[in-house]
Amino acid sequence: MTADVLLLQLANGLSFGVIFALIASGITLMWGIMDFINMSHGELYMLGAYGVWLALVVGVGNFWLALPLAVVGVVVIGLGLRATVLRPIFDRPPLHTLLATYGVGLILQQGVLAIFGPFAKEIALPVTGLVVLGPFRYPAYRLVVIAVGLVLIAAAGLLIQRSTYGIWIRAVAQDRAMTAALGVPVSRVYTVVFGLGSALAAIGGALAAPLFGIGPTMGSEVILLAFIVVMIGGLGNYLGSVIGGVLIGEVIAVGAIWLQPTQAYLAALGVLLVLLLLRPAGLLRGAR
Amino acid sequence: MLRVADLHVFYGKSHVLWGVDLEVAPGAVVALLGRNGVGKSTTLKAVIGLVPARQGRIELETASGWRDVTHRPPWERAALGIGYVPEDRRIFPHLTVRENLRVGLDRLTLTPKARRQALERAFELFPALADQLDRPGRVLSGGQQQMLAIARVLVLGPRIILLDEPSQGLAPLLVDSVMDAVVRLGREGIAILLVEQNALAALEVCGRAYLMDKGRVCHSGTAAALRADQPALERTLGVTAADIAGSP
Repeated sequence: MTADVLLLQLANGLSFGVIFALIASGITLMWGIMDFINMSHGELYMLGAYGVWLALVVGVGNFWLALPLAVVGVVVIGLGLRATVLRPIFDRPPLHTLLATYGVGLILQQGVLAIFGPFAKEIALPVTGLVVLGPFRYPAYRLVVIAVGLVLIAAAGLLIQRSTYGIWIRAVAQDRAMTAALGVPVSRVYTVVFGLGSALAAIGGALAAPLFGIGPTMGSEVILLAFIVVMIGGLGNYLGSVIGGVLIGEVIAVGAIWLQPTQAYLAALGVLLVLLLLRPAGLLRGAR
Repeated sequence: MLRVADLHVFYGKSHVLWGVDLEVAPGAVVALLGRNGVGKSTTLKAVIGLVPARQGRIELETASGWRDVTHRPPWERAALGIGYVPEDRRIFPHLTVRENLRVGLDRLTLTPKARRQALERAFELFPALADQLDRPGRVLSGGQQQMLAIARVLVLGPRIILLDEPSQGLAPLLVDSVMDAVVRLGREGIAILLVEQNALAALEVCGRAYLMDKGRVCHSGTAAALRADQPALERTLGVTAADIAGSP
C-alpha cells in the first residue's frame, strides 16, 4: 500500500462519513429531544435523492437548484407525516411509534417502487473533473460533498447552539415539562426539530445521489448504520453523531484497502460494537 | 386572581386530589400547608397544567376578565401569567444561567429595553445571579439554583407565582433571604401561592393559608388566626404549642 492509496481512502471515508453524519444528526435530534425513534428516517434520505432526480427530469436545469427544491419537498412530506400519522401516536409507548414509523417507511419505499420502478436511477456528477494537489488527484465532486455537507452540518449546529429555537430544543431535551411550564409551545419546537432532521436527511440523499445512484431501498441500506452512529455519538448529542458518522465512513473506506466491501462493513460493525462496550453512553457522554 | 374549584386529580388509578377549593386574590401571598403527600405539590402542578384535572375548574383572572384554563396546555397558562417554581427547582443543567433565563423570555415579544429591564429587575432581587450568567445551571449551589428558578419566572412578568418548597434543602440564612424575596414580590403586587414544609416560616410571610389533608383543603384562614388555632395546626401539621412559642 502506498501513502497515496491511504490518502485517497481517507478522503473517500470523509465523503461517506459526511453523508452518514447528515442522516445520523437528524435521528439523534429526534430521538434525543423528542424521545421519538423514527424508523422511516432512511426514507427521507431516499426521497431527497429521488427529489433531486425528479427535479432534473422535469427540467430544472441545475443540480444546485434541484437540491434545495428536493429538500423543501422532503421537509413538506416529513412535516405532513408528522401531522397526520405520527402526532396522534406521539405519546404512546415506544413500540407503537417504532412499528408505525417502520410502516411509514415501508409505504414510502413501496410507493417509490410503484411510481418510479425498481431500476436504479442515475444523475450526472454536477461537478466534474479532478482536483490536483501535488501528486494527489481527487474527484472534485467528492470534495464538494465534503465541503457542502460540513458547512450545512456546522450551520445547523450553530442554529442549535445560538438561536432561540436552539435553546428551546436543548431545554426540551433536558426537561420537557419545565420548558412548557415556562411558556414555550413544545409541540412547535418538535415541528422545528422534525423539519430540521428531515432537511438534513434530504441533503444527505441529494448529495449522495450522483455518487451512489438512486434506488427505493437506499434508505433502508444506511439506516441501521446510522442508528449505530447515533448510539456511538451519544443519544441526542449532535456533535457526537457527526463525529460518529465520519468515524464510520473512515473505517469502511480505509478497511476497503485490504478487505472486500462486505468485510469492511463487518469491520465497521465490529468497531462500533467495541466502542459501545467501552463507552455505552457514547463518545461524548453528557454534553449536549 | 386564581380560583380553583372542586379539583380532582388522578395519577393513573390512584385518586390524589379529592376536590380542592382555593382562591388567591390579586397580590396576595397565600400558603398551602400540610404534611408530606397530602397533595400540595400536585395542586400546584395541576394549576400550571403539568398534571391533568379529571374534574373541577381552574380559573385565572387576566386583563380581559376571568379565563377558564382547566384544559389549556401549560405554555398557554404561562403566557397568561402563571409562573411555576417547582420543588426541585428543575434548572436546565446543561444550559447556562443566561440561557435558563432566555427559555421563557425569548417567548415574549419585548423591545430590547423592556427585556433589559426585566433582567435588571431579577438581578436586583438576586444580585448573586448577575455574576454567574455564563456558568451552566448544574454547577450552581442549591441557593443559587433556587434564585435562578424564581428569576426564570420573574422575568416573564407573571401575575401569580406558584412556589413549591422554596426553602427545601437551604441553609437557614438562605431560607431567610428566599422568604424575604417572597415578601418583596408580594409587595410588588405579584400574587403568590406558596407550598411550604416549614409551616411556621410560611405563616410569617403569608396573609392567608389553606391547610390540606388527604387530598382536600380541610381548614383555611388568615395567618394570624391559624397561628392562634393550635388544635388545627397540631392536627394537620403536627406543630405544637411549644413550636409556635419558640418561633420568632
